[in-house]
Amino acid sequence: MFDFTDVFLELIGLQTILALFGGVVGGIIIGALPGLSATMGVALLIPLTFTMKPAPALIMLAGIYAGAVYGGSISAILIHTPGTPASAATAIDGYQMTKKGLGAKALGISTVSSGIGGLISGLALLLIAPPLSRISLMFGPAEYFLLAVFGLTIIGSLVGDSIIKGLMSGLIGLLIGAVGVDVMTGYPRFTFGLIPLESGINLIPALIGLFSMSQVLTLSAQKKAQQVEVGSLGNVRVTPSLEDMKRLWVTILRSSGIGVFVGMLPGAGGDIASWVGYNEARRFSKNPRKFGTGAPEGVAASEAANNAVTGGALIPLLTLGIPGSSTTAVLLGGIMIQGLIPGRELFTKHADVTYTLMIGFLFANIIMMVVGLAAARYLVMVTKVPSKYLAPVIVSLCVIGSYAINLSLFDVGVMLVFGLFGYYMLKSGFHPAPVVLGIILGPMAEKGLRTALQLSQGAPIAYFLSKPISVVLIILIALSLLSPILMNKLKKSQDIPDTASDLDS
Amino acid sequence: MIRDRIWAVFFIVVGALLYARTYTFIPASAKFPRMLIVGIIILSVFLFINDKKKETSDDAVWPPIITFLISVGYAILVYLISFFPATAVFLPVLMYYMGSRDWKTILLTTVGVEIFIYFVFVMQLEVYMPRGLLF
Repeated sequence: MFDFTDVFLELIGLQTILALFGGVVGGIIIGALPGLSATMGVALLIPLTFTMKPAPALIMLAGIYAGAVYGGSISAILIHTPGTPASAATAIDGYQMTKKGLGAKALGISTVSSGIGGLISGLALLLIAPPLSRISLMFGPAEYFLLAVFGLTIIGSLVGDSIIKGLMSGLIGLLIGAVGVDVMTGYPRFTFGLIPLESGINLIPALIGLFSMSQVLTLSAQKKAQQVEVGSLGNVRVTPSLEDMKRLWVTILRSSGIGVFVGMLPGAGGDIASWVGYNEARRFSKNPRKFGTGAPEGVAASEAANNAVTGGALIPLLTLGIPGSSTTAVLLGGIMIQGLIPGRELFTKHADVTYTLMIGFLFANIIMMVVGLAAARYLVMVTKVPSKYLAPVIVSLCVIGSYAINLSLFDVGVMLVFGLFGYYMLKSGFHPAPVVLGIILGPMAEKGLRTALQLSQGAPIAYFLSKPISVVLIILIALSLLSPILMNKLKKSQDIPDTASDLDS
Repeated sequence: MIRDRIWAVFFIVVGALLYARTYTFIPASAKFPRMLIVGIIILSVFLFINDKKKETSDDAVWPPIITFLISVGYAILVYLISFFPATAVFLPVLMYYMGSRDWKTILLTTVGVEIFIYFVFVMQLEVYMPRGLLF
């Protein structure tokens, strides 16, 4: 089928190794920086991957993802401010440990738990994804159309203020995706005479604008200069002892399982997984009272779960192209820009790339653990960077990144416009993730619909209902429209605080 | 609540204009955009009707706009005098606007960013930087 030696050689190639390290370390730093999120980091660094070969490019992006999810725990533990929403549960016991002078130990536990969680999810990815990808072979145009609709409804229903706004964001994204020459007829749509628009609105600048530039504008609007009091690491060793590990391994394993499962569900992300992991650990614990006062189990449970989501979320992403969260939606963009399409092809024609990615993902988690343990004390400094320095740097990267894709200043303009638009959208409760997804999926959705309508020869409803996968997807779409209600019930039963779920991991 | 309604009206108006635009398309190309626009308009109506209690945000109004304008100025500057000089101007300006007064850090950061971008984008990825009008 494919050559293991090819994969091996690819893995030890210089570009791959640089991508691995760069991605993981960069991700950790991005996750630790207050004001930056994993999604934004991935979005910003996608242009760098443009000229890389597919395997290193994807490994770097996956490395950033994993690193950032872990990195969020650093500020959660030390400043009681989760660097990413997925680390909110970590902040509880983590910060308590810091107050007791055990900050370093908390960091160590977080590092090891995150690494193990990620490794387990990577193994799950390796085992589940290839067989699961065969399903995509049964997909025809109708199924692809419904799949696109499903992806949009599930993400649209779970982000932002309300399902209405989420769905609107999705439709807006689809409409933006329709700008340009219509693939099936060659007719230019919504180009308003501008030549650069004839190839459509470029995904990456729009993505960078919506996620990164908008975040810069948000940072600029924050009134209080957030001067943070960073907790001290204390005099403890970072690396957890064997004693600690013996007490924690069950928690870590259980949370990892939870994380992988939640990650596989489209729409559920790191924040949900970390809370469920935390609560389950508390339930199973012999003295639940110590949770909240600085229990290492709390940190371990939350971090193992949220990193286990990363591998799990890659499963539906690679096999079907359904992103499980904002970050994976952006990853989808990164994959497609390499010319790769999720589905069976990734595991057959491009098996070498995909297997390199999956194995590389395992290494990324190992590197993450090693770097985290070794550099914990230095990473603390990262959390202190004020946004007045950070924001301009990000703008520069946004500008050069958007330019680099097509060597076009028009794209820079696109990025800026989307940045402004994205900022006001976010303020009003619309979330950019469905917009990006709409832009990505628009052409596929439209092509699927039009081809399906042609094939159905005038009897579309009968056609859509005659195919089993179609029916399943239709039911899933209906369920996803109900998911806000289901999610609310789940959150209430788990006592998850009702912050507008960012799905940022 | 008011903010939601403003958005709703905005989308309805823009949607209507875009829909009108689709009449210049050939019919086959117009179908999908029309479906989307109708969907957006219907949802906008729901949005308009839906009464939700909203907390007012305490974000300042002008800083994002000014930051945006400075960034647009940056892009124009890139067009005029090419990327690296433009960046050397832009970074200190925005850092100053965002509150920094520490010239040493500003200088260090600017130099650092320039080097980083040069190393990554020009040397590694061999991106052709935008040529300015003047140089």
